[in-house]
Amino acid sequence: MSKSLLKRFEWKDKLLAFIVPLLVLVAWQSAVSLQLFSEMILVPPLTVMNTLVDLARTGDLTNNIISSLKRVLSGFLLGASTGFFLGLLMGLSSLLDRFVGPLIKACKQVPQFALMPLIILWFGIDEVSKVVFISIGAFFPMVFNTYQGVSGVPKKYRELARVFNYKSFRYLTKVILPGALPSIITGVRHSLGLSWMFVVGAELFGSESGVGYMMVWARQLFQIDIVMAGLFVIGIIGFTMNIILQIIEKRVLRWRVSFDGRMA
Amino acid sequence: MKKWLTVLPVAALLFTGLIAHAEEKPKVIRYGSVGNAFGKPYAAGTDGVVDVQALLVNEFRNDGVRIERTYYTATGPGLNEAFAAGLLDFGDYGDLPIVVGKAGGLKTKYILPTNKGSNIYIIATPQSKISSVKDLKGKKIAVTKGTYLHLTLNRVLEANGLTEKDVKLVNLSTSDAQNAIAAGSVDAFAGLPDRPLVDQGLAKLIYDTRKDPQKWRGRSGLLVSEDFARKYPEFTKRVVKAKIKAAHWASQEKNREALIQLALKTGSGYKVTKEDFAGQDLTAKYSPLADQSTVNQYKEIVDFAFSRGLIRKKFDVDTWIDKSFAEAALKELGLQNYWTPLSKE
Repeated sequence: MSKSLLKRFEWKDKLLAFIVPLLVLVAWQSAVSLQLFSEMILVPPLTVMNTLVDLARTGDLTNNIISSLKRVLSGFLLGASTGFFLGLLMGLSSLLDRFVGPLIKACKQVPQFALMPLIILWFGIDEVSKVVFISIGAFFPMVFNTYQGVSGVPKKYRELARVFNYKSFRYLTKVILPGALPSIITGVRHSLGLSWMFVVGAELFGSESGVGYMMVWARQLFQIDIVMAGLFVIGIIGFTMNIILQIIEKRVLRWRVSFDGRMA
Repeated sequence: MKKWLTVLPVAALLFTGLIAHAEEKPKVIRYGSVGNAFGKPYAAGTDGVVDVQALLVNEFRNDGVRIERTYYTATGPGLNEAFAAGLLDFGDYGDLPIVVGKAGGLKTKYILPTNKGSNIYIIATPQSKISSVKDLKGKKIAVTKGTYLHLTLNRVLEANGLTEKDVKLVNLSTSDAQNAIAAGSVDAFAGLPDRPLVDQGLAKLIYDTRKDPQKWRGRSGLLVSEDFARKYPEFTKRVVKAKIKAAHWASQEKNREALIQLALKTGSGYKVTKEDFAGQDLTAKYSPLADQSTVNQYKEIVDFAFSRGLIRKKFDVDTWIDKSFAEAALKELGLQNYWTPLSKE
């Protein structure tokens, strides 16, 4: 396949990605214009945009986004790093895997929101409890993806390292981590994505700032335009995060040929 | 023959009118209450009386009108959303949320006060040095913001020379606030009468509004959607009539114990409920009169909500409160003089 043809396909992909949101916007405006729903519960797109502009103008939106991002970053770093090290150890040691693996898999089945009352009891109502809550969300994708990546490093590479008598550090940095990198990066992407989703949940509890708080408080005050503006912001930031991570993934894994045959 | 010719159209008109009148009844009356904070889908007060005595069901039994009762666990905001989505005809809930809903554009009418005496209880961690409201200065207080608890807490603070700015309010639901108090992550909690943490020694009661003026306490009221009231004024009056029957029963001293037993259905404890009712003037608490005192209270709530940024615009309380249904129902029941209207406060 020639390079120009490939490029044309990519442009088509990008164009297609805009069609569905556009259709949603048209359906949304039509539902409002046809008065299928009350404007109080399905706020017109233009009103949501005006609300966004107002929130941005007063500085409320920026402050709330910054608060949420700080929490996401702290929770992500805590949860993803714990998940990474545990996943790495489980991938390297089958004994640890047999001991800890079933417990982690069982814990993953517990709905994280059900843990919130306990988290409040153990860590209080301040920032720590929110960061812990987010870190739980960040932990699971990281631990499983890292484990999968590490245990999936081909046996022949491991044996080769043994033949060359690689020491532990060299073995890790030259064989295991590069081999597991694609899976680890997928873990990072999912982990960060879930952290961003969990921040909204974390801010339901005793928060005074953040995008989630802004939405919950607006719901209590029957200001549905702010709730919808919050949804829009969450979507845009989540999407941007994903794009940034995809770019990083492409750069880091330049050497990899991805599953669809295109060079990453 | 000519005579018949004149009578016929009149008879036809009357017949059409009768059909039209017969059609002017709803298939269902959708009535919402606050899902109780104590954990069970029952209502205390007049809504509880209406349910237990089947007053609404009996009122419309012969009309073939179904009563659809819903308890909204999302409390006041949930009822506001239900009104906005056209899922409710009537809703009985707290003062601040109904004001927030109306200011947000809900097409509702306030047709009946249903409770004028909901207390709040302020509890604090046992190890804290807080022993009075004044000691709350600079402290972290959990409260469900946007509810009557938030409003009444403000009144209590102001009466003690403090404002909301002198404390740090943390917005928590009742159950989360109890966890937060138990963990010591907030200093105090302004909540409902039920206080299991005090019974367990995990918190101490520092203040409640039982001895405060009636006007400080939380209120609730019955709203009807403008659409329903316009289409079915007679049915609206009859719903109000059922509620007034309940208020009449609840206002009688001889029913105090039965009223407490009814409140227990919500999951509240007997001891705290009895204490909460002790000394309360039931006639004043359940008076269905939208008297001048009530109107003034709602004007004050609108001002409070606006000044705190809880609502974006004010509205005219005088036109929102529609006394006509209650007045007609009171007359039918012969209870016009049972309750005394309050002009002040």
